[in-house]
Amino acid sequence: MAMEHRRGRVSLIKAASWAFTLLAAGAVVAMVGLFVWQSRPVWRHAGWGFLSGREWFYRQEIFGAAPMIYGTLVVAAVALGLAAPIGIGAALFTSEFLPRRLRIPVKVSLELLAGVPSVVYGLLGILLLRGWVYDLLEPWEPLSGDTLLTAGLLLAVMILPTVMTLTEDALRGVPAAQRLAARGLGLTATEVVLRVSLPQAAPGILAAVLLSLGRALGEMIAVFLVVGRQDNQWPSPLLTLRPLTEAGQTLASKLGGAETNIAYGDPLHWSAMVGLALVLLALVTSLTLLGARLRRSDHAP
Amino acid sequence: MRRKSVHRLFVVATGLCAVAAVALLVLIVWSIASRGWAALSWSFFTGHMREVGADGGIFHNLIGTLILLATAAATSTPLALAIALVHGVYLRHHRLRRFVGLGLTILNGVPSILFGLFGMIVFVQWLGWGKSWLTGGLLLGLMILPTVSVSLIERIASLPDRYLEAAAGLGLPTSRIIRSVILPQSLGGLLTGSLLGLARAAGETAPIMFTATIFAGATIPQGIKESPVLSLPYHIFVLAQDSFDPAAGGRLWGAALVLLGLVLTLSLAALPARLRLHEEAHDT
Amino acid sequence: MTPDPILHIQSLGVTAGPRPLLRGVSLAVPEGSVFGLIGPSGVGKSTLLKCCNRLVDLTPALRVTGTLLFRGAPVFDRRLDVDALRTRIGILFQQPAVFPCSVLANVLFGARPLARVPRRELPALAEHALREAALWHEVKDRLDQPATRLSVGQQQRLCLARTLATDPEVILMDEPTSALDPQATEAIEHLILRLRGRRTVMLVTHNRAQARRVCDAVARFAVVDGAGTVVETGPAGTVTADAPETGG
Ligand SMILES: Nc1ncnc2c1ncn2[C@@H]1O[C@H](COP(=O)(O)OP(=O)(O)OP(=O)(O)O)[C@@H](O)[C@H]1O
Ligand SMILES: [Mg+2]
Repeated sequence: MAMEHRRGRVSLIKAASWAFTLLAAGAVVAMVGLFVWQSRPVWRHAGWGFLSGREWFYRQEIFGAAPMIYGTLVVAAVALGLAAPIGIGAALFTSEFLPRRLRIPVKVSLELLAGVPSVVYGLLGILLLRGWVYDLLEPWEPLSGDTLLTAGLLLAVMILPTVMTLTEDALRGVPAAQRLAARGLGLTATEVVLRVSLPQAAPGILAAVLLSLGRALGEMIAVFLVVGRQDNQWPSPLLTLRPLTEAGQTLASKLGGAETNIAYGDPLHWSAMVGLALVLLALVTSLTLLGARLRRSDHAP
Repeated sequence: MRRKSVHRLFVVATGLCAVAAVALLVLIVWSIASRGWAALSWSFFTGHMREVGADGGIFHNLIGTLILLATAAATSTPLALAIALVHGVYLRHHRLRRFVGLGLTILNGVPSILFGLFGMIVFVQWLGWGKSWLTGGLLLGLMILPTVSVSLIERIASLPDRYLEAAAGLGLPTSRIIRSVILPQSLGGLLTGSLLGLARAAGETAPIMFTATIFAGATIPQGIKESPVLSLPYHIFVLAQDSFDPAAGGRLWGAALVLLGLVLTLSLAALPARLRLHEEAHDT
Repeated sequence: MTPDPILHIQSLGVTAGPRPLLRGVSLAVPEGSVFGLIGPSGVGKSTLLKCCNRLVDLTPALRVTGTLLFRGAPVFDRRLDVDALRTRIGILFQQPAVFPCSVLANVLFGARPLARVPRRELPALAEHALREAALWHEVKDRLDQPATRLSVGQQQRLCLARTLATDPEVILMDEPTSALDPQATEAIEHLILRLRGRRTVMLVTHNRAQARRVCDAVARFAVVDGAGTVVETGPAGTVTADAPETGG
């Protein structure tokens, strides 16, 4: 490189690399910046009420995001409550008990499962899951099969491979020598899992769960198709399970709806929509950061 | 003996989880394939959509999706190469490298609908474009950028140091080392990452629904600013909503099967390289 | 007539797919002795050790033929409880593999699940094992600290204490001192000599002098027709005298 400088030529590759990298970084910064900037009107209009308000009537310029935040969290909680135990269990089985010859086909199936497009999940949700949930909820007289529960179940299926793959990654970080030493002491394979693998992989597994949660929070298409998209659903009392049997709205499903196009012409309404995007971005990014942190501390010796 | 029973119970319980996961995949593929199979025919691939999806084929949807994918690949490739080189070659500082990695991790986590909104602000609001294939391709390219970059970065990091040292020992300037050693050796990583990224991009609806794709009436785009395309995922998304016309059902499943086939083919193509990496990691 | 050997290996063979690793290995290890295994690298000494407590099971690629008797009972019996076997035949590796938890938890790692002694007697058991491994005085004030902070030599003795806590009849040692400095090596050798008589030790070593110092009998391995086998067995002094040094 020194030679090139002497000839007074800056490496084209170097210049291009930096330029493109800064372009990409600029796009990311621009995204965050735009969401912050364009949502200012609604923050000025509603203040913290934007987060805590339970009503959203855009014609009256009432913008409260709480029901959507609630819907997002409930749906993600259902998804995680199912996908985390099953996914972690399955990952333990494949990586600790399954012989290598069988491990690979299972692994391949799961990678493929992870790749199924969300719109396909949504389609299956509409045509299979919706009816099934409706029958399941029969005793509670649901209005339709489009409920927060349906969305949660569908999301559980969707994030299951993510939980599994990331959990497997975490388990692989546990040194083989430690497993061997523990078996050499006479521990059963299960005791090795419970006393050696799980404790050591715990931060990584927690990261897996958080990153999957992030995915669940942000999923739009599949949720959109089965959640019912009913605004202003707020539970009373707060901890009742009743909303699970009713239609609801999540941040992402709201953003994916027709209202985004309607809002486009009205600065305040638009900024409220962008505000929802900002809330979603903040939620997901904090989970991502937390997960990344855990994964790193996991890899450090 | 209690320890043995605990072990058996544990293996059965975790085994059931694994069986459930695999069964889900089989169920999903079977549900789509068994319903969509009947719709597949030559004319389904080459025909134009008629009667709101109830008749005709998905030719322009497929073409539209391919245009979006090609644009996404063309967007992500130079950006990912640049990021990987900056990360692997030009950035000497460990902390700065980690910063790049963190940025990619964050971008990877951003929900896809937010890319759609971002595109709407930049291209529709600022630039005054209508729906355009280019917007969609750029957004999808940005969305898959982390996948492609990370794959490249990992490949470059796994290059043996002696290659680089040998090249440097010959007195080659960095740019020559990049061109003659690093780039040729890391093309596999670019390919794997792109296949994986495109597999994800092919099925995405959220980033393109407001910015690039419409349900009917578009053919091969003639320009840029006002040239939307049809696409497979949006087609399925629209037809799936609410109680669609049962007559469209068979073709809807057919379209879903084609999309699933496209996505799975892309991810399968990337699989050998991934498995090799995976098993290497497992053995050490 | 000598008493029955505690470990009796009869024409044992191990193959990895088509490739033979060990062939026709026969050995009789007397109870209470320190039995050395020497021979060039890759000849299959570690593999043989792993056969004795069936850790080979964890490497599905390896197939074992022949018989291996532990106190007269076949080790490669399908119905045998391998986990119980492994508490009776403990193993110590070349690199100490301590678990990322406290010193105390490490010592009791194998003993606790056995539940042979009541919970409140576990600390006493740990102390006993640590004393036997000559580590007690160095760690008695830091039992709650992470074991990973110990020096490598201390970690190796901790691994030995961990094994002793399960009260094994046989301890397999796979080059236990090759990662250690001379002082730590001396400590381990000293321990082996103290264990002698009370427990049976099978010791793989590359170090001739060490074999002479601590072993009662030694089996020398060599590659014959592409597979490792025993070429010579006898008292430590005679076997090691004329054999070529294998380094280490
Ligand atoms: N899982 C396996 N598959 C195939 N071959 C194996 C496997 N494990 C070990 N081997 C081979 O078995 C042979 C014996 O290995 P082993 O570790 O027992 O030798 P060793 O005598 O202990 O050598 P060293 O003195 O270097 O420790 C080696 O050639 C090794 O490559
Ligand atoms: Mg060895």
